[in-house]
Amino acid sequence: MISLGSGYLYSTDAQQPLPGAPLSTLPTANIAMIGHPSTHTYSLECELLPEVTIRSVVYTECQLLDMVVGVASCLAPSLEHIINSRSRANFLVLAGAPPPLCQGMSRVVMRGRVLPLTHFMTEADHAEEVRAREIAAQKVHARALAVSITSGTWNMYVPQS
Amino acid sequence: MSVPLKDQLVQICPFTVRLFTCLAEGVLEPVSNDGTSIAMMTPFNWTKLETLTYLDSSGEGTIAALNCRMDTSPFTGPNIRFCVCMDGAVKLKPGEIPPNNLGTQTVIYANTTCSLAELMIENEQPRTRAFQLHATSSDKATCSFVLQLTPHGTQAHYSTANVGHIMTVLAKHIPSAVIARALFQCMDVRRNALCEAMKSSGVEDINSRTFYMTLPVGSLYDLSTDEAQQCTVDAAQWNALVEKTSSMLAESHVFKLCEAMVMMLTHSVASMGVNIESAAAVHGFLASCNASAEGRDWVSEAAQHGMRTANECSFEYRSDSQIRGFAVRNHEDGVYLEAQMDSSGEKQNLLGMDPLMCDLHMAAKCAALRSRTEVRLAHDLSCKPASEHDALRAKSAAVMGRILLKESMETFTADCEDAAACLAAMASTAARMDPAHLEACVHSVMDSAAFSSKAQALKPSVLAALRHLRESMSTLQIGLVFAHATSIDEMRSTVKEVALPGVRMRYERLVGCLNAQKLTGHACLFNKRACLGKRKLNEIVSVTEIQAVKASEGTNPVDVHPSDSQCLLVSKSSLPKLHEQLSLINGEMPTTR
Repeated sequence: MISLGSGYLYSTDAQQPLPGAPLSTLPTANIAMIGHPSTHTYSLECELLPEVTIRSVVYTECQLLDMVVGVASCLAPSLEHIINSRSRANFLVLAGAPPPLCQGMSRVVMRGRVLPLTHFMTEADHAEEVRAREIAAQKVHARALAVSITSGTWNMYVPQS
Repeated sequence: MSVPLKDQLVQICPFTVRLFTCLAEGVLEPVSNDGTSIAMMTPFNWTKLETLTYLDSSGEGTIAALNCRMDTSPFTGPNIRFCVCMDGAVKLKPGEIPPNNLGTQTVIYANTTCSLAELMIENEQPRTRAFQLHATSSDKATCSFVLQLTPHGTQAHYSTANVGHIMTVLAKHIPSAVIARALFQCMDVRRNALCEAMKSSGVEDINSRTFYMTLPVGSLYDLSTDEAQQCTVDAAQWNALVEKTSSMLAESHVFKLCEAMVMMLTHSVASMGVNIESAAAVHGFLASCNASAEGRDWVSEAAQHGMRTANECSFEYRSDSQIRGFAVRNHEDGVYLEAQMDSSGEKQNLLGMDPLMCDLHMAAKCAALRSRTEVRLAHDLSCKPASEHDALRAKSAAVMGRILLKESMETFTADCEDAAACLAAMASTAARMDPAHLEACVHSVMDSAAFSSKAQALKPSVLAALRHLRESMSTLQIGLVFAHATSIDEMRSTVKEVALPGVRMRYERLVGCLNAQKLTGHACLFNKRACLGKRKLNEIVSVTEIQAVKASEGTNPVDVHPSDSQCLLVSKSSLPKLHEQLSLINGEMPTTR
């Protein structure tokens, strides 16, 4: 069964599978069926209910879900909290770009650091880590390249041949 | 006459809190897990409180007194929410935080709500006796926690003005369990309406009813009735929850959206020969892309690729972020709970963000571990011979290193629902957040120390790119594949003979795979590319023909390039079981050669 947004997907044969056999409509069995010429796929969308009575007060189902989200969202960090905690923790977006012609290379996602961490890291410290990653990649393959995405994640591009 | 400041506040008295686990009917034992914390949130005034109290080894702690402003209309819904967070590390040692277990995947949560009046008033008098609240938990089978609260109010907490405020807040209180029960009934009405509509299209009731997929959201949204099994939501409710939460937390998603935009520029736009440091060049390029259908597709793909890469950096897929239940370990010095992992449990996270509660818990846990490690080293150095000092210092430094690493590079442990919901939330932020507010948030994020000078230089280009993404991001929706919490055992007997080719054959193959437990549930982001007009089948159900969708895998993104010899869609995994599941879910997708 596949649901997409608020709908459940059903598929119908576009034509009879064999002469005389009935056409079937059933829950969509996999993603490849959607848009396939042999089937029509439909989304059966159900609406939220307009009236729900709780203790003689009429709410909409949408309002009840607003309440649920309102209570849950007090658990979410604020943007300020996220910025502060990321900045305090030496996290840095490094904006490395993949090399040209990387299509011919395998990408390996690397997590972690090569050099030891220190409490307070300057941008120069991060640059040293970037260089260390490049050296580490070349130890794996002479033509391998390291691209630093963030202080914690980098990609290693290794030639396929 | 102006109202004195103290009368503009509602004063909540301090409480002693004890956490128990329910071992059997009526048998309560205090929870002794080291580092168990509790926070009291006050949704009635929309505040995100960063309060946290540790419980001691007898499961006891104190929640400090709190004053909340009463200058806005109280929120209708649960007044107060208590959240419990503890480390359910496997092989717990009493009184010791394990330094090798600083991840979040074994964190156990429990939640409960109550009204402000329930907390402070009993039979119209100040409450003085302890009272108990049942807390729902990430345990799949049962509500296993009880919170015992003993208020310590003073005369000030029961002034006429304060009691008036308490009653105003009480009038807006609806218990979580009541909301959950109402939503459960709504789901039932919708399921019947859909089955009825499908019956008229020749679909047997068993097929539409069994595959009316629902999923559990108990611990995060606290959608649990007292009956433990009734805490799932259907597609309409889940979709509304994702949309509403995305909208409510749009600001919090801007950080990752900025990362995603930097990735889009450096990975996709730059490779088209555009000078990404020039906002005018980026604007010109994206404007020309948006002038044609192919160009709009390219922009959408590039943005999704950026979002997936940003996700890849900050969290990793682990199905064990789902906790099935707890094992109770009865040590001589107390009862401890250990998390039990399962691949079909429930999600714990907040659309790809660590809940504040867990974040604060882990920060406090690291601080406690750091302090204990220092004390331990000082003690060991004072009583061990000098010849062992170097080894002791090295051992201590290793623990400190692990703490620093955890604090610096915490990768969020998430499952596929989180990955997909996070992608949907980023897309929703880009498509729907007020443009002026989004721009202000982008400035705050990209001017911060978390962006290198090279990344900061891209800020004008990021702002330019976001202006061109509003339309293409609005077609992205979360999609769920196959049933969570669905038992289809009864379907097995309905498959009697080899079906003819077509929809039925594929469907029966799917039922077979589910019965053989080759499939569980999966979630990813979908780009609904084309659909034909909507028509109503009945008051609740309408139907739309879908002509094409494109799935965007959030958990294990893999790029497919024309030079790759053969590749299945964008979903594959190095985990054999997951890979097999993804292949079955996708079906026979076109291959690139």
